[in-house]
Amino acid sequence: MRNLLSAGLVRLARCKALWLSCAVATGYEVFAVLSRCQRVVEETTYSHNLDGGFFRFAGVIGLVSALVCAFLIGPEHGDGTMRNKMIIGHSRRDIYLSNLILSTLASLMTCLAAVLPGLVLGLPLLGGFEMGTARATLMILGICTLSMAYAALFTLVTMLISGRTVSLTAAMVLALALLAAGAYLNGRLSAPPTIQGYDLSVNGQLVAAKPSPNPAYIPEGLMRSALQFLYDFLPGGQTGQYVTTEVARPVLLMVYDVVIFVAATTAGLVLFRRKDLK
Amino acid sequence: MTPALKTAGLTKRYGEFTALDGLDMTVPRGAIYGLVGRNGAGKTTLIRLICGLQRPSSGEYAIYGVDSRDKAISKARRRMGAVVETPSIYLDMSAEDNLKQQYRILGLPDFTGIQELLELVGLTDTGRKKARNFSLGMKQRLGIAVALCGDPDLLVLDEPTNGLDPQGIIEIRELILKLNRERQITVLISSHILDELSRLATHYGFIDRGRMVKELSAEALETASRKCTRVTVSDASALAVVLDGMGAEYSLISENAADVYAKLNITDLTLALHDHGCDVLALDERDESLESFFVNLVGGDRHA
Repeated sequence: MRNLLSAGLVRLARCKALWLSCAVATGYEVFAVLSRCQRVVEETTYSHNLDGGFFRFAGVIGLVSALVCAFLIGPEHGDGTMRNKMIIGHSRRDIYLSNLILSTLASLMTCLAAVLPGLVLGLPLLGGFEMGTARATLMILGICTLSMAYAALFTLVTMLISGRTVSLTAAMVLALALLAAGAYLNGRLSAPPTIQGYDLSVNGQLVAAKPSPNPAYIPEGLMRSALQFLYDFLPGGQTGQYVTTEVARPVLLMVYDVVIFVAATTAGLVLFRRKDLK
Repeated sequence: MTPALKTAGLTKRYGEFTALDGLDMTVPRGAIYGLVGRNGAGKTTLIRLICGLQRPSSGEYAIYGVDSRDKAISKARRRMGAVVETPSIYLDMSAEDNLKQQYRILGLPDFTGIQELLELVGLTDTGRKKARNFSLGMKQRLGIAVALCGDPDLLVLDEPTNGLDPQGIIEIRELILKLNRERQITVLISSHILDELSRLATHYGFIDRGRMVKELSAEALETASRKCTRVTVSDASALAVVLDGMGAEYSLISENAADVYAKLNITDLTLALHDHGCDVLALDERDESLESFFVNLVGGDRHA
């Protein structure tokens, strides 16, 4: 395992996709913080704090993680170098786990590439976090565990799909599907119980009518609990919560990330052990 | 002496299709073992199994006496290197970096021997050029160099000359011979180019429909396929008497045919047989190559 990691770290350092992802994360975060600064200056309704812009980078973590995993692991299949490792006696478990560690490291590096410039630039320009340093730290840690969950999922996909292009496509589609699922769940859960209607008065003016029940609203009960669980559990739902900083239970989300990480890795190890390599 | 590789009843099924069907094979130490078979015969499946890329459905194999089901097989694998189908190299790295990477994967303490390996495969002058820009032959040689990292005792090569130009084929052949003679590396090689294989192999294994049809040494093959004249007569016993009288080496094939390995004076033979009341029905010159031996062995009806 140590030998595999040693060789893998050399490849990681040379992985252009990783550095590109870090650059994208940094650029995205700097843009978000500067946009926040501009709005604070131009519009008095915006508070002078980091909260609104800082966590925007969480929105791209899934996509860049998919990209890095595919570019890091894909060539191992495509160039046949994964075969070399097996032929000389490395176990499938060690090969899988070493690639998982590298993917996780790459995802965390991408997070760091956003967090560090965000703090360096944001703290002097916008001051601290209105939510408090403790909660902000918890949120940053939460995004890190989220990136680890993404890394485990994309490692699973890219280790099991041999074709380089197919695995890249599958990882990107999964990332987008998770984000879309998060957005959909958010939409369902945030539907208000009633819809405010308007009537046209006799003098031609709009007046508020009696609110009518919203058919899209999901009342408290099993259905709402299930959707809320999915919104909290799925990485796409968590991404939406971190971006909007509306995270009600950050520790629970971190626990879910650990569950995803362990489940995806266990499934990956079992399936990869059975996989016929060509 | 324990063979470098031995398989017993090795079977691999893909659903209903049986790619390997109870294959038995023995690769002696120090041999260049040529694996001969048509497309789909099971050569690559066999190589994938012994390389640990796939798991056998049943049966077993042993590398230097270590059974495939033994945990020590991982250590035994360290004694082998392989190029399966395409060379396993990082295309975005130079030849030297590829070898360094393999050294790291093997956990070797330093990079001693890399220059020697590059010289061995003739890639010393490639500098920083990335492997993706190499010719097919250069990639193949780099793949062999990667497989040679860690000084393996057994080298497995699957179709190493596929797609190479004549010069590339000669280079690979010379390299394999050099490795076998100078480093005493046992080589298991599969190839479609039978003429090329016949210039290399010391042992052959003929595989068809997932089964080993015949295993024999190059000397045995030479004997089996040496130049001869097949004489078909009305009475083989009379032919035997005449040939004994002439002091000619021969082997009886049937009741009315024999393969004669001596150079014959046809007139003398015919007259002598006539004196014994025996008619000559046919004379055929036979010069069996590895290819014709293979076709005779497995049948030519499905020959690719």
